[in-house]
Amino acid sequence: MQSVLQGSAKGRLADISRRAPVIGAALAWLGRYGELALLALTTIGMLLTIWAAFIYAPTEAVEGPVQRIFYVHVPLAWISYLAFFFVLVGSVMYLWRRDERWDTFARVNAEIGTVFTTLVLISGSLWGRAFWGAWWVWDERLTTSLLMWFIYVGYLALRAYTGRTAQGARAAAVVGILGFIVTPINYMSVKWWRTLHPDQVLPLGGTPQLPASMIVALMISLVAFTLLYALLTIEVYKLERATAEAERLRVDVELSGQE
Amino acid sequence: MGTNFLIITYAVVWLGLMAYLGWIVLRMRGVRADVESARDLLNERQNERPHE
Repeated sequence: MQSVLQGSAKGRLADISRRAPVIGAALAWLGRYGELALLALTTIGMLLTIWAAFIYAPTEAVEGPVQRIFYVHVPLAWISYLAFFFVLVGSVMYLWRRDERWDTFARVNAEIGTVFTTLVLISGSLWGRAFWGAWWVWDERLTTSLLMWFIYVGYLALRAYTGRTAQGARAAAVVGILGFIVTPINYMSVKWWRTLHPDQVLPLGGTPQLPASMIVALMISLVAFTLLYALLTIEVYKLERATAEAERLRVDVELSGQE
Repeated sequence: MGTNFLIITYAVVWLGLMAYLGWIVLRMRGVRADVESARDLLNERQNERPHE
């Protein structure tokens, strides 16, 4: 079934290439150099982020230079939300289709999301020490961020403990679905409770609470970090597939030794 | 004071991301070496087997 699907997809691509040679050439180029192009775009994006955060964006009147932490803290948080949303998508799709690739996709996003949440907690803590005078406060936003971090560290621990088994994948999918509940609570916490954490600067469906130059700097940073996330997802996904192949080959070697 | 925290934060975030990228590269090298050695061993065993 899978090979039939892949075959028909290849057929469609060949058809496009015949009808529109420019699109065909572009698709071939993307397949060959796409990752390299993504790496180049990410590097340019990161350099632009540094320029926008330190030079382009104005110094905030109340917080002073420490407010510039915002240009990495917010994109890191955005990527952790995005990654945990894809853990949910991968988990639901795995339980529905029982396709190992969806499980790998969920696992990859849990790892990336955990790394980014760790950096969110560290950058937030450093900003808190500079602005509030405290490394940590048990504010609703901070507490739910820590809870989110523990959930996905638990998810990864479960995956490490159960290995690459169908039972482990099913259990992880359930954790991936239930664990996501904390993510929207974390996002909405500054609205639902009176928190010390600053309010949403880009509220969903609302008007931005920042001057235009700060919004531009934040947008540059959000795009750069999203490109980095895409690159990391591709690389970690390839790594996970290669690890699964290595495990399958090791089993084959053991079986061939017993024959 | 604020500038120090700003520089420390950017350094920690970028070093953290670089360390993560480095860890991915190291893991990829290890896995590729594993796949290669397992394939070699499998080929060796198949060649050792008497022809039926």
